[in-house]
Amino acid sequence: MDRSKINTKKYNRKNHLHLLVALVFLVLLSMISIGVGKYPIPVEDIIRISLGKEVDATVKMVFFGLRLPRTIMAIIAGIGLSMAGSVYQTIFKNPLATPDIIGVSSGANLGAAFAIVFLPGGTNTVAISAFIGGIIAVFTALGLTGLSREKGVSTFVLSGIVIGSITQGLIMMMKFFADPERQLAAMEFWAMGSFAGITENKLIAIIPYFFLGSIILLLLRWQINILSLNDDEGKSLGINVDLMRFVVILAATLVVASIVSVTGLISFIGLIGPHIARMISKRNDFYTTVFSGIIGGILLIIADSLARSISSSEIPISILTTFIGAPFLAYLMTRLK
Amino acid sequence: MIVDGIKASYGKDLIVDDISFEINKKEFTALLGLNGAGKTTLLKVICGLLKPISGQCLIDDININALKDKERARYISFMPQRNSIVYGSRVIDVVLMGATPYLGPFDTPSKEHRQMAYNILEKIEMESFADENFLYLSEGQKQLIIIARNLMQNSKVMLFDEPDSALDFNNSHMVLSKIREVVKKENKAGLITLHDPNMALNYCDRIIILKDKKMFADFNTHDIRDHFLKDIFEEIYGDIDIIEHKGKHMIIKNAI
Repeated sequence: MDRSKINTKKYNRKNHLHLLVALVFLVLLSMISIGVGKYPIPVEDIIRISLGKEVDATVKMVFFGLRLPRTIMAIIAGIGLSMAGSVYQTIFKNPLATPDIIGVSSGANLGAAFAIVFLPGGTNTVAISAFIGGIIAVFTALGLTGLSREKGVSTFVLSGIVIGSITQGLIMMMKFFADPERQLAAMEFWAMGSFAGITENKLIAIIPYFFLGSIILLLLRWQINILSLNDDEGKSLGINVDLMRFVVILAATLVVASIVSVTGLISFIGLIGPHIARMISKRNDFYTTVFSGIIGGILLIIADSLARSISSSEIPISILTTFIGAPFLAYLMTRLK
Repeated sequence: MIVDGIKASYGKDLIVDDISFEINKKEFTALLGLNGAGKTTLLKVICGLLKPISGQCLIDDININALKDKERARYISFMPQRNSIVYGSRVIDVVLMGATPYLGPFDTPSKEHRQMAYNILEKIEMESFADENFLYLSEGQKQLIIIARNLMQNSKVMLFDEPDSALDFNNSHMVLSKIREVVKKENKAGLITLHDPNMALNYCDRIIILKDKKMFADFNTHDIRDHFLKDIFEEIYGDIDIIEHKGKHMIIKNAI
Protein backbone atom coordinates (compact mmCIF):
# COMPACT_ATOMS: atom_id res chain seq x y z
CA MET A 1 0.00 0.00 0.00
CA ASP A 2 2.83 2.37 0.80
CA ARG A 3 4.39 1.47 -2.47
CA SER A 4 1.39 2.73 -4.41
CA LYS A 5 1.73 6.14 -2.79
CA ILE A 6 5.41 6.32 -3.63
CA ASN A 7 4.75 5.28 -7.20
CA THR A 8 1.98 7.81 -7.66
CA LYS A 9 4.19 10.58 -6.37
CA LYS A 10 7.06 9.65 -8.63
CA TYR A 11 4.70 9.45 -11.57
CA ASN A 12 3.21 12.88 -10.95
CA ARG A 13 6.59 14.44 -10.28
CA LYS A 14 7.87 13.22 -13.64
CA ASN A 15 4.79 14.70 -15.32
CA HIS A 16 5.23 18.01 -13.60
CA LEU A 17 8.91 18.07 -14.47
CA HIS A 18 8.15 17.69 -18.18
CA LEU A 19 5.60 20.50 -17.98
CA LEU A 20 7.90 22.76 -15.96
CA VAL A 21 10.90 22.36 -18.28
CA ALA A 22 8.71 22.96 -21.33
CA LEU A 23 7.13 26.04 -19.74
CA VAL A 24 10.54 27.55 -18.86
CA PHE A 25 11.61 26.95 -22.45
CA LEU A 26 8.47 28.60 -23.76
CA VAL A 27 8.98 31.71 -21.60
CA LEU A 28 12.68 32.04 -22.54
CA LEU A 29 11.98 31.60 -26.24
CA SER A 30 9.16 34.15 -26.08
CA MET A 31 11.53 36.72 -24.54
CA ILE A 32 14.04 36.12 -27.31
CA SER A 33 11.32 36.09 -29.95
CA ILE A 34 9.96 39.49 -28.89
CA GLY A 35 13.34 41.05 -29.68
CA VAL A 36 13.67 39.48 -33.14
CA GLY A 37 12.57 41.24 -36.32
CA LYS A 38 13.09 44.23 -38.57
CA TYR A 39 13.50 46.52 -35.56
CA PRO A 40 15.41 44.37 -33.07
CA ILE A 41 14.77 45.11 -29.42
CA PRO A 42 17.86 44.53 -27.24
CA VAL A 43 17.48 42.07 -24.37
CA GLU A 44 18.16 44.75 -21.71
CA ASP A 45 15.22 46.78 -23.04
CA ILE A 46 12.92 43.73 -22.89
CA ILE A 47 13.96 43.20 -19.27
CA ARG A 48 13.47 46.90 -18.50
CA ILE A 49 9.94 46.86 -19.98
CA SER A 50 9.10 43.65 -18.12
CA LEU A 51 10.17 45.33 -14.87
CA GLY A 52 8.00 48.36 -15.67
CA LYS A 53 10.88 50.80 -16.27
CA GLU A 54 10.98 53.53 -18.93
CA VAL A 55 12.46 52.87 -22.38
CA ASP A 56 12.75 54.70 -25.69
CA ALA A 57 9.33 55.59 -27.15
CA THR A 58 9.91 53.76 -30.48
CA VAL A 59 11.05 50.64 -28.67
CA LYS A 60 7.97 50.83 -26.48
CA MET A 61 5.73 51.21 -29.52
CA VAL A 62 7.28 48.23 -31.32
CA PHE A 63 7.13 46.15 -28.13
CA PHE A 64 3.50 46.78 -27.21
CA GLY A 65 2.06 47.55 -30.65
CA LEU A 66 3.65 44.80 -32.72
CA ARG A 67 5.71 42.20 -30.92
CA LEU A 68 3.73 41.49 -27.76
CA PRO A 69 0.37 40.76 -29.43
CA ARG A 70 2.13 38.77 -32.11
CA THR A 71 4.13 36.67 -29.65
CA ILE A 72 1.09 36.05 -27.46
CA MET A 73 -0.86 35.03 -30.55
CA ALA A 74 1.87 32.59 -31.59
CA ILE A 75 1.81 31.02 -28.12
CA ILE A 76 -1.99 30.82 -28.09
CA ALA A 77 -2.06 29.35 -31.59
CA GLY A 78 0.54 26.72 -30.73
CA ILE A 79 -1.18 25.71 -27.51
CA GLY A 80 -4.66 25.69 -29.05
CA LEU A 81 -3.85 23.82 -32.25
CA SER A 82 -1.72 21.23 -30.46
CA MET A 83 -4.23 20.61 -27.71
CA ALA A 84 -7.09 20.37 -30.19
CA GLY A 85 -4.99 17.99 -32.30
CA SER A 86 -4.31 15.84 -29.26
CA VAL A 87 -8.00 15.77 -28.37
CA TYR A 88 -9.04 14.88 -31.93
CA GLN A 89 -6.45 12.10 -32.06
CA THR A 90 -7.84 10.72 -28.80
CA ILE A 91 -11.54 10.82 -29.59
CA PHE A 92 -11.12 9.63 -33.20
CA LYS A 93 -8.75 6.86 -32.06
CA ASN A 94 -6.47 7.86 -34.89
CA PRO A 95 -2.93 9.16 -34.25
CA LEU A 96 -2.98 10.95 -37.61
CA ALA A 97 -6.15 12.94 -36.97
CA THR A 98 -5.74 16.71 -37.24
CA PRO A 99 -8.07 19.58 -36.31
CA ASP A 100 -9.27 19.56 -39.91
CA ILE A 101 -10.69 16.02 -39.71
CA ILE A 102 -14.17 17.42 -39.10
CA GLY A 103 -13.87 20.33 -41.53
CA VAL A 104 -13.03 23.33 -39.35
CA SER A 105 -10.00 24.64 -41.23
CA SER A 106 -11.40 24.03 -44.70
CA GLY A 107 -14.58 25.83 -43.60
CA ALA A 108 -12.53 28.75 -42.27
CA ASN A 109 -10.59 28.78 -45.53
CA LEU A 110 -13.85 29.02 -47.47
CA GLY A 111 -15.10 31.80 -45.20
CA ALA A 112 -11.90 33.77 -45.70
CA ALA A 113 -11.97 33.25 -49.49
CA PHE A 114 -15.60 34.39 -49.59
CA ALA A 115 -14.78 37.59 -47.67
CA ILE A 116 -11.77 38.34 -49.86
CA VAL A 117 -13.80 38.06 -53.06
CA PHE A 118 -17.23 39.35 -52.08
CA LEU A 119 -17.06 41.43 -48.91
CA PRO A 120 -15.58 44.87 -48.36
CA GLY A 121 -13.77 45.74 -45.13
CA GLY A 122 -10.31 44.20 -45.16
CA THR A 123 -8.70 41.79 -42.71
CA ASN A 124 -11.22 42.13 -39.89
CA THR A 125 -14.06 41.05 -42.15
CA VAL A 126 -11.94 38.17 -43.42
CA ALA A 127 -11.33 37.03 -39.84
CA ILE A 128 -15.02 37.16 -38.89
CA SER A 129 -16.04 35.40 -42.08
CA ALA A 130 -13.37 32.71 -41.57
CA PHE A 131 -14.54 32.11 -38.01
CA ILE A 132 -18.15 31.76 -39.10
CA GLY A 133 -17.10 29.53 -42.02
CA GLY A 134 -15.25 27.16 -39.71
CA ILE A 135 -18.18 26.89 -37.31
CA ILE A 136 -20.72 26.36 -40.11
CA ALA A 137 -18.58 23.63 -41.67
CA VAL A 138 -18.38 21.71 -38.40
CA PHE A 139 -22.09 22.08 -37.72
CA THR A 140 -22.84 20.80 -41.22
CA ALA A 141 -20.56 17.82 -40.64
CA LEU A 142 -22.19 17.12 -37.28
CA GLY A 143 -25.65 17.47 -38.86
CA LEU A 144 -24.68 15.02 -41.57
CA THR A 145 -23.50 12.58 -38.90
CA GLY A 146 -26.76 13.07 -37.02
CA LEU A 147 -28.76 12.19 -40.14
CA SER A 148 -26.99 8.88 -40.65
CA ARG A 149 -28.04 5.80 -38.73
CA GLU A 150 -24.56 4.88 -37.57
CA LYS A 151 -23.10 7.63 -35.38
CA GLY A 152 -19.68 6.09 -34.79
CA VAL A 153 -16.28 7.60 -35.38
CA SER A 154 -16.04 6.58 -39.03
CA THR A 155 -19.25 8.48 -39.84
CA PHE A 156 -17.72 11.64 -38.39
CA VAL A 157 -14.63 11.15 -40.50
CA LEU A 158 -16.72 10.57 -43.64
CA SER A 159 -18.80 13.68 -42.93
CA GLY A 160 -15.57 15.63 -42.53
CA ILE A 161 -14.37 14.35 -45.90
CA VAL A 162 -17.66 15.31 -47.59
CA ILE A 163 -17.60 18.82 -46.10
CA GLY A 164 -13.90 19.20 -46.87
CA SER A 165 -14.46 18.28 -50.53
CA ILE A 166 -17.40 20.65 -50.95
CA THR A 167 -15.48 23.56 -49.43
CA GLN A 168 -12.45 22.79 -51.60
CA GLY A 169 -14.69 22.83 -54.67
CA LEU A 170 -16.20 26.17 -53.71
CA ILE A 171 -12.76 27.63 -52.98
CA MET A 172 -11.47 26.52 -56.37
CA MET A 173 -14.48 28.13 -58.00
CA MET A 174 -13.80 31.42 -56.22
CA LYS A 175 -10.13 31.25 -57.11
CA PHE A 176 -11.05 30.75 -60.75
CA PHE A 177 -13.20 33.87 -60.82
CA ALA A 178 -11.02 35.97 -58.49
CA ASP A 179 -8.87 38.88 -59.60
CA PRO A 180 -5.44 37.21 -59.84
CA GLU A 181 -3.41 40.24 -58.74
CA ARG A 182 -5.13 41.05 -55.48
CA GLN A 183 -7.80 38.55 -54.53
CA LEU A 184 -6.13 35.33 -55.65
CA ALA A 185 -2.86 36.33 -54.01
CA ALA A 186 -4.68 37.22 -50.78
CA MET A 187 -6.43 33.84 -50.80
CA GLU A 188 -3.20 31.96 -51.33
CA PHE A 189 -1.41 33.89 -48.60
CA TRP A 190 -4.30 33.32 -46.17
CA ALA A 191 -4.05 29.58 -46.75
CA MET A 192 -0.34 29.67 -45.85
CA GLY A 193 -0.90 31.45 -42.53
CA SER A 194 0.94 34.36 -40.94
CA PHE A 195 1.22 36.26 -37.67
CA ALA A 196 2.16 39.46 -39.50
CA GLY A 197 -1.35 40.91 -39.41
CA ILE A 198 -1.96 40.28 -35.71
CA THR A 199 -3.04 43.38 -33.80
CA GLU A 200 -4.02 43.92 -30.22
CA ASN A 201 -7.66 44.25 -31.29
CA LYS A 202 -7.72 40.95 -33.12
CA LEU A 203 -6.04 39.23 -30.21
CA ILE A 204 -8.56 40.61 -27.74
CA ALA A 205 -11.44 39.68 -30.05
CA ILE A 206 -10.54 36.00 -30.25
CA ILE A 207 -9.33 35.42 -26.68
CA PRO A 208 -12.81 34.82 -25.14
CA TYR A 209 -13.61 32.08 -27.69
CA PHE A 210 -10.19 30.52 -27.29
CA PHE A 211 -10.49 30.39 -23.51
CA LEU A 212 -14.08 29.18 -23.53
CA GLY A 213 -13.17 26.24 -25.79
CA SER A 214 -9.93 25.45 -23.96
CA ILE A 215 -11.53 25.52 -20.51
CA ILE A 216 -14.31 23.17 -21.61
CA LEU A 217 -11.68 20.78 -22.99
CA LEU A 218 -9.63 20.92 -19.79
CA LEU A 219 -12.70 20.37 -17.61
CA LEU A 220 -13.82 17.39 -19.69
CA ARG A 221 -10.36 15.78 -19.61
CA TRP A 222 -11.49 12.53 -17.96
CA GLN A 223 -14.47 12.11 -20.29
CA ILE A 224 -12.15 12.67 -23.28
CA ASN A 225 -9.95 9.91 -21.90
CA ILE A 226 -12.93 7.51 -21.87
CA LEU A 227 -13.93 8.60 -25.40
CA SER A 228 -10.66 7.06 -26.62
CA LEU A 229 -12.36 3.65 -26.10
CA ASN A 230 -14.87 2.27 -28.56
CA ASP A 231 -18.48 3.32 -28.09
CA ASP A 232 -19.73 0.13 -26.41
CA GLU A 233 -16.94 0.22 -23.86
CA GLY A 234 -17.47 3.94 -23.19
CA LYS A 235 -21.21 3.44 -22.69
CA SER A 236 -20.73 0.50 -20.35
CA LEU A 237 -18.42 2.73 -18.29
CA GLY A 238 -21.32 5.14 -17.94
CA ILE A 239 -20.63 7.83 -20.53
CA ASN A 240 -23.23 9.28 -22.86
CA VAL A 241 -20.85 8.82 -25.76
CA ASP A 242 -22.78 10.64 -28.51
CA LEU A 243 -23.48 13.74 -26.39
CA MET A 244 -20.00 13.93 -24.94
CA ARG A 245 -18.32 13.58 -28.34
CA PHE A 246 -20.56 16.37 -29.69
CA VAL A 247 -19.60 18.74 -26.85
CA VAL A 248 -15.89 17.95 -27.14
CA ILE A 249 -15.90 18.52 -30.91
CA LEU A 250 -17.67 21.86 -30.48
CA ALA A 251 -15.18 23.02 -27.83
CA ALA A 252 -12.19 21.99 -29.96
CA THR A 253 -13.78 23.71 -32.97
CA LEU A 254 -14.15 26.93 -31.01
CA VAL A 255 -10.43 26.82 -30.17
CA VAL A 256 -9.26 26.08 -33.71
CA ALA A 257 -11.69 28.46 -35.45
CA SER A 258 -10.77 31.37 -33.17
CA ILE A 259 -7.10 30.85 -33.96
CA VAL A 260 -7.14 30.26 -37.71
CA SER A 261 -9.64 33.07 -38.28
CA VAL A 262 -6.88 35.59 -37.52
CA THR A 263 -3.73 33.65 -38.47
CA GLY A 264 -4.84 31.76 -41.57
CA LEU A 265 -4.09 28.07 -41.94
CA ILE A 266 -1.15 26.76 -39.92
CA SER A 267 -0.18 23.28 -40.99
CA PHE A 268 1.43 20.48 -39.00
CA ILE A 269 1.29 21.91 -35.46
CA GLY A 270 -1.86 19.98 -34.56
CA LEU A 271 -0.14 16.78 -35.62
CA ILE A 272 3.43 17.28 -34.52
CA GLY A 273 2.84 18.86 -31.08
CA PRO A 274 0.92 15.87 -29.70
CA HIS A 275 3.33 13.39 -31.29
CA ILE A 276 6.39 14.97 -29.72
CA ALA A 277 4.59 15.19 -26.39
CA ARG A 278 3.57 11.54 -26.53
CA MET A 279 7.03 10.38 -27.58
CA ILE A 280 8.56 12.17 -24.60
CA SER A 281 5.93 11.25 -21.99
CA LYS A 282 5.18 7.83 -23.54
CA ARG A 283 1.54 8.16 -22.59
CA ASN A 284 -1.68 9.72 -23.76
CA ASP A 285 -3.53 11.38 -20.93
CA PHE A 286 -4.48 14.79 -19.64
CA TYR A 287 -0.92 15.80 -18.84
CA THR A 288 0.18 14.79 -22.30
CA THR A 289 -2.56 16.98 -23.81
CA VAL A 290 -1.40 20.03 -21.83
CA PHE A 291 2.22 19.14 -22.48
CA SER A 292 1.53 18.92 -26.22
CA GLY A 293 -0.03 22.38 -26.04
CA ILE A 294 3.17 23.85 -24.58
CA ILE A 295 5.27 22.03 -27.17
CA GLY A 296 3.02 23.51 -29.87
CA GLY A 297 3.61 26.97 -28.38
CA ILE A 298 7.37 26.45 -28.45
CA LEU A 299 7.30 25.30 -32.06
CA LEU A 300 5.24 28.25 -33.25
CA ILE A 301 7.38 30.78 -31.35
CA ILE A 302 10.45 29.39 -33.12
CA ALA A 303 8.67 29.32 -36.48
CA ASP A 304 7.38 32.87 -36.15
CA SER A 305 10.79 34.22 -35.09
CA LEU A 306 12.27 32.64 -38.21
CA ALA A 307 9.38 33.94 -40.35
CA ARG A 308 10.29 37.53 -39.62
CA SER A 309 14.07 37.22 -39.50
CA ILE A 310 15.20 34.89 -42.31
CA SER A 311 14.55 37.18 -45.25
CA SER A 312 13.68 40.85 -45.75
CA SER A 313 10.03 39.96 -46.44
CA GLU A 314 7.83 37.90 -44.13
CA ILE A 315 7.68 34.19 -44.83
CA PRO A 316 4.25 32.50 -44.47
CA ILE A 317 4.17 30.46 -41.27
CA SER A 318 3.03 27.14 -42.77
CA ILE A 319 6.16 26.97 -44.93
CA LEU A 320 8.25 27.01 -41.76
CA THR A 321 6.04 24.75 -39.64
CA THR A 322 6.20 22.19 -42.42
CA PHE A 323 9.96 22.41 -42.73
CA ILE A 324 10.48 22.24 -38.98
CA GLY A 325 7.72 19.75 -38.28
CA ALA A 326 8.10 17.11 -40.94
CA PRO A 327 11.83 16.37 -40.52
CA PHE A 328 11.47 16.36 -36.74
CA LEU A 329 8.69 13.82 -36.94
CA ALA A 330 10.81 11.72 -39.30
CA TYR A 331 13.73 11.93 -36.85
CA LEU A 332 11.62 10.84 -33.90
CA MET A 333 10.06 8.02 -35.91
CA THR A 334 13.42 6.54 -36.81
CA ARG A 335 15.20 7.20 -33.52
CA LEU A 336 12.62 6.12 -30.98
CA LYS A 337 10.64 2.95 -30.75
CA MET B 1 -30.91 -9.88 -11.33
CA ILE B 2 -34.09 -10.73 -13.17
CA VAL B 3 -34.20 -10.88 -16.95
CA ASP B 4 -37.85 -10.68 -17.89
CA GLY B 5 -39.20 -11.57 -21.34
CA ILE B 6 -36.58 -9.85 -23.43
CA LYS B 7 -37.08 -9.57 -27.17
CA ALA B 8 -34.48 -7.78 -29.24
CA SER B 9 -33.52 -7.28 -32.86
CA TYR B 10 -30.91 -5.78 -35.12
CA GLY B 11 -32.79 -3.98 -37.87
CA LYS B 12 -35.77 -6.12 -38.89
CA ASP B 13 -34.60 -9.55 -37.80
CA LEU B 14 -35.56 -10.76 -34.39
CA ILE B 15 -32.38 -12.02 -32.71
CA VAL B 16 -33.54 -12.75 -29.20
CA ASP B 17 -37.09 -13.99 -28.57
CA ASP B 18 -38.74 -13.82 -25.17
CA ILE B 19 -35.97 -14.79 -22.78
CA SER B 20 -36.46 -14.81 -19.03
CA PHE B 21 -34.26 -15.98 -16.20
CA GLU B 22 -32.96 -14.90 -12.85
CA ILE B 23 -29.41 -14.94 -11.53
CA ASN B 24 -28.27 -14.56 -7.97
CA LYS B 25 -25.35 -13.31 -5.94
CA LYS B 26 -22.24 -15.49 -6.00
CA GLU B 27 -23.69 -17.40 -8.91
CA PHE B 28 -21.53 -17.72 -12.02
CA THR B 29 -23.70 -18.48 -15.04
CA ALA B 30 -22.63 -19.32 -18.57
CA LEU B 31 -24.59 -18.42 -21.67
CA LEU B 32 -23.91 -20.99 -24.38
CA GLY B 33 -25.06 -21.37 -27.96
CA LEU B 34 -23.69 -21.50 -31.47
CA ASN B 35 -22.83 -18.40 -33.49
CA GLY B 36 -25.98 -16.46 -34.23
CA ALA B 37 -27.92 -17.96 -31.32
CA GLY B 38 -28.20 -14.47 -29.83
CA LYS B 39 -25.76 -14.69 -26.91
CA THR B 40 -23.96 -11.42 -27.48
CA THR B 41 -27.18 -9.60 -28.40
CA LEU B 42 -28.82 -10.73 -25.18
CA LEU B 43 -25.79 -9.62 -23.21
CA LYS B 44 -25.84 -6.20 -24.90
CA VAL B 45 -29.52 -5.75 -24.09
CA ILE B 46 -28.93 -6.68 -20.47
CA CYS B 47 -26.12 -4.17 -20.10
CA GLY B 48 -28.05 -1.42 -21.85
CA LEU B 49 -26.04 -1.14 -25.08
CA LEU B 50 -29.06 -2.25 -27.10
CA LYS B 51 -32.69 -1.30 -26.52
CA PRO B 52 -35.02 -4.31 -26.32
CA ILE B 53 -38.28 -4.40 -28.31
CA SER B 54 -40.03 -5.62 -25.20
CA GLY B 55 -39.15 -7.00 -21.80
CA GLN B 56 -36.93 -5.60 -19.13
CA CYS B 57 -33.98 -6.34 -16.93
CA LEU B 58 -34.36 -5.71 -13.22
CA ILE B 59 -31.72 -5.42 -10.52
CA ASP B 60 -33.12 -4.90 -7.02
CA ASP B 61 -36.47 -4.05 -8.64
CA ILE B 62 -34.91 -1.26 -10.69
CA ASN B 63 -35.44 -1.35 -14.44
CA ILE B 64 -31.93 -1.16 -15.85
CA ASN B 65 -33.04 -0.34 -19.39
CA ALA B 66 -34.71 2.87 -18.20
CA LEU B 67 -31.60 4.25 -16.48
CA LYS B 68 -29.12 6.76 -17.84
CA ASP B 69 -25.73 5.41 -18.94
CA LYS B 70 -24.05 6.65 -15.79
CA GLU B 71 -26.56 5.21 -13.32
CA ARG B 72 -26.74 1.91 -15.15
CA ALA B 73 -22.95 1.57 -15.07
CA ARG B 74 -23.14 1.45 -11.26
CA TYR B 75 -25.40 -1.62 -11.39
CA ILE B 76 -23.84 -3.52 -14.22
CA SER B 77 -20.38 -3.86 -15.72
CA PHE B 78 -19.53 -5.28 -19.12
CA MET B 79 -16.33 -6.89 -20.31
CA PRO B 80 -16.06 -6.90 -24.12
CA GLN B 81 -14.32 -9.66 -26.12
CA ARG B 82 -11.44 -7.33 -26.68
CA ASN B 83 -10.65 -4.04 -25.04
CA SER B 84 -10.22 -1.05 -27.32
CA ILE B 85 -7.35 0.70 -25.59
CA VAL B 86 -5.08 2.00 -28.35
CA TYR B 87 -2.99 4.64 -26.61
CA GLY B 88 -0.42 3.88 -23.96
CA SER B 89 -1.84 4.28 -20.47
CA ARG B 90 -0.58 3.07 -17.15
CA VAL B 91 -2.31 -0.03 -15.82
CA ILE B 92 -3.56 1.87 -12.76
CA ASP B 93 -5.12 4.50 -15.05
CA VAL B 94 -6.95 1.80 -17.00
CA VAL B 95 -8.36 0.42 -13.73
CA LEU B 96 -9.35 3.97 -12.74
CA MET B 97 -11.56 4.22 -15.83
CA GLY B 98 -13.92 2.01 -13.82
CA ALA B 99 -14.51 4.95 -11.45
CA THR B 100 -16.16 6.95 -14.25
CA PRO B 101 -19.81 6.19 -13.25
CA TYR B 102 -19.10 7.85 -9.89
CA LEU B 103 -17.60 11.04 -11.36
CA GLY B 104 -19.24 14.24 -12.51
CA PRO B 105 -18.48 15.35 -16.09
CA PHE B 106 -15.75 17.72 -14.91
CA ASP B 107 -14.23 15.41 -12.27
CA THR B 108 -11.17 13.20 -12.36
CA PRO B 109 -10.59 10.23 -10.04
CA SER B 110 -9.53 11.20 -6.53
CA LYS B 111 -6.73 9.88 -4.33
CA GLU B 112 -9.26 7.55 -2.69
CA HIS B 113 -10.15 6.13 -6.10
CA ARG B 114 -6.46 5.64 -6.79
CA GLN B 115 -6.07 3.73 -3.54
CA MET B 116 -9.16 1.65 -4.34
CA ALA B 117 -7.77 0.83 -7.77
CA TYR B 118 -4.52 -0.28 -6.21
CA ASN B 119 -6.33 -2.46 -3.67
CA ILE B 120 -8.28 -4.10 -6.49
CA LEU B 121 -5.03 -4.79 -8.34
CA GLU B 122 -3.76 -6.44 -5.16
CA LYS B 123 -6.86 -8.64 -5.02
CA ILE B 124 -6.14 -10.03 -8.46
CA GLU B 125 -2.40 -10.15 -7.72
CA MET B 126 -1.48 -7.63 -10.41
CA GLU B 127 -0.32 -4.79 -8.13
CA SER B 128 3.28 -5.06 -9.30
CA PHE B 129 2.09 -4.01 -12.79
CA ALA B 130 0.38 -0.82 -11.59
CA ASP B 131 2.86 1.50 -13.30
CA GLU B 132 3.45 -0.57 -16.44
CA ASN B 133 2.19 0.55 -19.82
CA PHE B 134 -1.02 -1.38 -20.46
CA LEU B 135 -0.13 -1.99 -24.12
CA TYR B 136 3.03 -3.90 -23.15
CA LEU B 137 1.12 -6.53 -21.13
CA SER B 138 0.27 -10.00 -22.47
CA GLU B 139 -3.28 -10.58 -23.70
CA GLY B 140 -4.10 -12.60 -20.57
CA GLN B 141 -2.77 -9.87 -18.28
CA LYS B 142 -4.73 -7.24 -20.21
CA GLN B 143 -7.96 -9.17 -19.59
CA LEU B 144 -7.15 -9.33 -15.86
CA ILE B 145 -6.74 -5.55 -15.83
CA ILE B 146 -10.11 -5.13 -17.55
CA ILE B 147 -11.63 -7.38 -14.86
CA ALA B 148 -10.05 -5.04 -12.31
CA ARG B 149 -11.55 -2.06 -14.14
CA ASN B 150 -14.98 -3.68 -13.99
CA LEU B 151 -14.51 -4.39 -10.27
CA MET B 152 -13.79 -0.68 -9.87
CA GLN B 153 -17.32 -0.02 -11.18
CA ASN B 154 -18.49 -1.78 -8.01
CA SER B 155 -21.59 -3.16 -9.73
CA LYS B 156 -23.68 -6.02 -8.39
CA VAL B 157 -23.86 -7.71 -11.76
CA MET B 158 -20.83 -8.43 -13.94
CA LEU B 159 -21.20 -9.43 -17.59
CA PHE B 160 -18.44 -10.97 -19.67
CA ASP B 161 -18.58 -11.42 -23.44
CA GLU B 162 -16.26 -14.30 -24.39
CA PRO B 163 -13.30 -12.89 -22.47
CA ASP B 164 -11.23 -15.92 -23.49
CA SER B 165 -11.76 -15.63 -27.24
CA ALA B 166 -8.33 -14.12 -27.98
CA LEU B 167 -6.40 -16.10 -25.38
CA ASP B 168 -4.21 -19.19 -25.51
CA PHE B 169 -5.08 -22.39 -23.60
CA ASN B 170 -3.36 -21.47 -20.35
CA ASN B 171 -4.46 -17.86 -20.34
CA SER B 172 -8.06 -18.89 -20.99
CA HIS B 173 -8.05 -21.05 -17.89
CA MET B 174 -6.21 -18.41 -15.88
CA VAL B 175 -8.70 -15.67 -16.80
CA LEU B 176 -11.77 -17.84 -16.24
CA SER B 177 -10.63 -19.08 -12.86
CA LYS B 178 -9.92 -15.47 -11.89
CA ILE B 179 -13.39 -14.40 -12.98
CA ARG B 180 -14.93 -17.25 -10.96
CA GLU B 181 -12.86 -16.25 -7.93
CA VAL B 182 -13.97 -12.62 -8.25
CA VAL B 183 -17.65 -13.53 -8.56
CA LYS B 184 -17.46 -15.73 -5.44
CA LYS B 185 -15.29 -13.51 -3.25
CA GLU B 186 -16.83 -10.17 -4.16
CA ASN B 187 -20.45 -11.34 -4.00
CA LYS B 188 -21.25 -10.64 -7.64
CA ALA B 189 -23.83 -12.08 -9.96
CA GLY B 190 -21.75 -13.19 -12.96
CA LEU B 191 -23.02 -13.88 -16.46
CA ILE B 192 -20.59 -14.93 -19.17
CA THR B 193 -20.94 -15.94 -22.81
CA LEU B 194 -18.60 -18.71 -23.88
CA HIS B 195 -17.91 -20.73 -27.02
CA ASP B 196 -16.39 -23.73 -25.35
CA PRO B 197 -18.94 -25.80 -23.38
CA ASN B 198 -16.08 -27.47 -21.50
CA MET B 199 -15.02 -24.13 -20.09
CA ALA B 200 -18.60 -23.55 -18.94
CA LEU B 201 -18.80 -27.02 -17.33
CA ASN B 202 -15.45 -26.41 -15.69
CA TYR B 203 -15.95 -22.98 -14.18
CA CYS B 204 -19.63 -22.07 -14.06
CA ASP B 205 -22.32 -23.00 -11.54
CA ARG B 206 -25.07 -22.91 -14.07
CA ILE B 207 -25.50 -23.10 -17.83
CA ILE B 208 -28.14 -21.40 -19.94
CA ILE B 209 -28.27 -22.49 -23.57
CA LEU B 210 -29.76 -20.40 -26.36
CA LYS B 211 -30.94 -22.03 -29.56
CA ASP B 212 -32.83 -20.45 -32.46
CA LYS B 213 -33.28 -17.16 -30.58
CA LYS B 214 -34.97 -18.90 -27.66
CA MET B 215 -33.92 -20.32 -24.37
CA PHE B 216 -33.26 -24.02 -24.87
CA ALA B 217 -31.95 -25.22 -21.52
CA ASP B 218 -31.11 -23.94 -18.06
CA PHE B 219 -29.42 -26.24 -15.56
CA ASN B 220 -27.07 -26.46 -12.62
CA THR B 221 -23.61 -27.88 -13.41
CA HIS B 222 -23.21 -29.49 -10.00
CA ASP B 223 -24.40 -33.06 -9.57
CA ILE B 224 -25.67 -33.70 -13.06
CA ARG B 225 -25.79 -37.05 -14.81
CA ASP B 226 -23.90 -37.86 -17.98
CA HIS B 227 -26.89 -38.83 -20.06
CA PHE B 228 -28.74 -35.64 -19.11
CA LEU B 229 -25.82 -33.59 -20.39
CA LYS B 230 -25.51 -35.77 -23.48
CA ASP B 231 -29.19 -35.31 -24.37
CA ILE B 232 -29.00 -31.55 -24.09
CA PHE B 233 -25.67 -30.97 -25.77
CA GLU B 234 -26.42 -33.37 -28.65
CA GLU B 235 -29.23 -31.02 -29.66
CA ILE B 236 -26.73 -28.19 -30.01
CA TYR B 237 -23.43 -29.71 -30.94
CA GLY B 238 -24.41 -32.93 -32.80
CA ASP B 239 -22.60 -36.21 -32.30
CA ILE B 240 -20.86 -35.96 -28.94
CA ASP B 241 -19.87 -38.06 -25.97
CA ILE B 242 -19.65 -37.03 -22.34
CA ILE B 243 -16.74 -38.35 -20.32
CA GLU B 244 -15.95 -37.89 -16.68
CA HIS B 245 -12.48 -37.10 -15.42
CA LYS B 246 -11.67 -36.42 -11.77
CA GLY B 247 -15.27 -35.54 -11.09
CA LYS B 248 -15.52 -33.13 -14.02
CA HIS B 249 -17.60 -33.56 -17.11
CA MET B 250 -16.10 -33.11 -20.54
CA ILE B 251 -17.66 -33.01 -23.96
CA ILE B 252 -15.92 -34.79 -26.82
CA LYS B 253 -16.96 -34.12 -30.37
CA ASN B 254 -17.05 -37.35 -32.39
CA ALA B 255 -17.60 -36.40 -36.02
CA ILE B 256 -18.28 -33.24 -37.91
